[in-house]
Amino acid sequence: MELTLNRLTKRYKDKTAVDSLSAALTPGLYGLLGANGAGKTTLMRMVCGILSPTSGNVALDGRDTVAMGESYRDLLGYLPQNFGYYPVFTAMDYLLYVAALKGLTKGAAKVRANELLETVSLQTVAKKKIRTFSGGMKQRLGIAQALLNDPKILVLDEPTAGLDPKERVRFRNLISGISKDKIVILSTHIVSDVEYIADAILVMKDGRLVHQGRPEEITASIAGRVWECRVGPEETGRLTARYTVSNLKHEGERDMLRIVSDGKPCESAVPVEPTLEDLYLYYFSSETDPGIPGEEGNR
Amino acid sequence: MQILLLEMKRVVKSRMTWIPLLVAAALSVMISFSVISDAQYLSVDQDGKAVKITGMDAIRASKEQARPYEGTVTEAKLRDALAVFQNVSRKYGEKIPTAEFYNKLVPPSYFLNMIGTVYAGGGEEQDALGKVNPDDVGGFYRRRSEVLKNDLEAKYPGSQDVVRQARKLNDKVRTPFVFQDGYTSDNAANLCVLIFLLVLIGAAVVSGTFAADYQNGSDDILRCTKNGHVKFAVAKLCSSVLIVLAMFAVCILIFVLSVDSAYGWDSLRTSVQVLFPLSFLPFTVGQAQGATVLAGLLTLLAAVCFALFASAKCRHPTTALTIVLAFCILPAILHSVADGNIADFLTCVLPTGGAGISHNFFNQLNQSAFVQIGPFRVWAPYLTIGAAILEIPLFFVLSIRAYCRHQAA
Ligand SMILES: Nc1ncnc2c1ncn2[C@@H]1O[C@H](COP(=O)(O)OP(=O)(O)O)[C@@H](O)[C@H]1O
Ligand SMILES: [Mg+2]
Repeated sequence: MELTLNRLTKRYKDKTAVDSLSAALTPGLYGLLGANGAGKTTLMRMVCGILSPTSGNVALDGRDTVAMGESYRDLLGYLPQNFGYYPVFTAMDYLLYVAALKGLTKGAAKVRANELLETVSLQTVAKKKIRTFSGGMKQRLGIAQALLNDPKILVLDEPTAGLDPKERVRFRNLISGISKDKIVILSTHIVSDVEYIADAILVMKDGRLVHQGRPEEITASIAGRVWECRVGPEETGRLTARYTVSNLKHEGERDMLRIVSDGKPCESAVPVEPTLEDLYLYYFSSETDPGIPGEEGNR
Repeated sequence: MQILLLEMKRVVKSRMTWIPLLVAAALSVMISFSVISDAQYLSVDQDGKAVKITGMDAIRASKEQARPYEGTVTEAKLRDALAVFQNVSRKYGEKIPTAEFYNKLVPPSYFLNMIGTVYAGGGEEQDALGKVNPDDVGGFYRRRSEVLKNDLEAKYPGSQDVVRQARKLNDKVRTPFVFQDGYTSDNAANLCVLIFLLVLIGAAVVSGTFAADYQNGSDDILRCTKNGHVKFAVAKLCSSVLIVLAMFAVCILIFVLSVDSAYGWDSLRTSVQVLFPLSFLPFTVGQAQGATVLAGLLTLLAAVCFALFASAKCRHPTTALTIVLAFCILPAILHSVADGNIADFLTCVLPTGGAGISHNFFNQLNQSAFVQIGPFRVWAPYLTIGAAILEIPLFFVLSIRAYCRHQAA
């Protein structure tokens, strides 16, 4: 099974959200990393077929997914970034409703819905109206909904938004457990969501894929560009103003700085092994805020 | 099928649905009640004071009084009615005492109206009634057909086709007419008001069907599912249509059952010509009422399918609702501000055209309005019904297409 994105482009009036993006995805978990506005959502909506590309296409094993229609959608599970729900529905009602649309029989739908409610720890509130749910509960229900048809292609747009740390860990384990024979695309702007579970990382910036590869490969690409140095307080001020500082720690009189920079930032700096977070900062250093959990940028 | 059931369950549970449905039911009860309680019967007591009876008692009293004239409208009965009028007016001139008026002239009023209309010859009916020789009334039915033909020729000069179409229908009109007191054209007008309100409510209720999902984002997940395109659209359309049909059936049944049983089922046998002497509709008022309900049903379906189309096209339910409401009142506005063929044509052809208060379908059935379409002239009720029959599948299919092609922002 191979999902290919062929020069996928989406242009809005004055903005190219996704710019001639090509990729070939085989089963595995893909972490789609990018700042707010990078074009992740736009890309995923095109992969799911709810947004028509300005040009280019998405193909599954060589067949155009728009032409495949129903048979492609049957393989698809999608969790949008901001999704709506019917407030009168209970969690169970909602899952049964989506299951019917996914073509599950009534009996199978009941079994599957119960299983998934258990998986996302919502079984105790299965009969509660969605209206009364917290953000994290809604998000978990959204994840359950995406898994109903045991999709072969699972597209999750910022699935961890609104989850608390404990739920994030649970979610990570869940996803890494199910991603074996599936193509899972998970977008996030939080590096730690995908750092240890992704088989590959796709880094997106201004509508293009700027990097793609296994997490360790991809961090290797900035080897020699991450530094650590121990400096005095006035030096700290100068360095933070000039460079991208990925970490700052006070150690008594002196400060320990971790800096992402092409050149050596100061005399005492020594190169260290880069992490995915350093990589992220390397690419998005010019942008504001690399991401606060739960923050929503756009849609 | 499973999708349809779940969708109907969901829609019915929603407050945006059941509140309007309850309002519709309440309105039909209120209108039915007012139609019955508004019935009036006027008379004069022994002291010469006017007495007004209303409601069921009035209906009963009126039937009692009309009894001598009920049954077949024979030329003899017409002659009697005319004789009564001429005696009273000869005796009192212009100043007819109230008691005489209520006791003598009200019971044959339909008959006097028929004679007046047919023998007016362009002048005042009252004058005509004074002048007609009672012996001439023997030729009433023949004379009526001639007047009808002359009127049409005057209204549509040079259009033999109109006269031919009208004659064809008129030949099927059963003569002599039948009269059973009870059903009035006010009842039909109120039925049309109810239908108009049901069309308004029905179209408004379904206007959120797709647009609300677009707006709240729930559509994104649903359209990514296996059955999320055509099948889902069809299920949503059918669920909306079925719910609105149920509303229509319940509300119309409330009205027809209560009003017709109050005014008397036998009065439905009355020929429409007793109410509208120059109508060429070969129906009894009961059949005309049925046709009005049927046309209302078709109009409702056309309006609902149109509203669903608007809903599938618009990103916001408020936009869809605004468009739908505008289209619901457009025929009424067109009808009152503009006249001429184009306005008539649009009034009939709009998806909501069959429902209106000023241009109600029952009246349309009994009038001789022909709309010009190219070289043809079509009787307005045919056009109204024909347009609705075409628009129902048209907008149904267009809605599916619009939904499947919708692009989330
Ligand atoms: N409907 C739209 N019209 C115009 N611009 C849009 C629209 N949707 C997204 N964009 C723009 O496209 C860019 C990419 O957006 P998006 O795909 O949502 O990014 P991400 O999900 O990575 O945060 C943003 O700059 C956004 O403003
Ligand atoms: Mg996004």
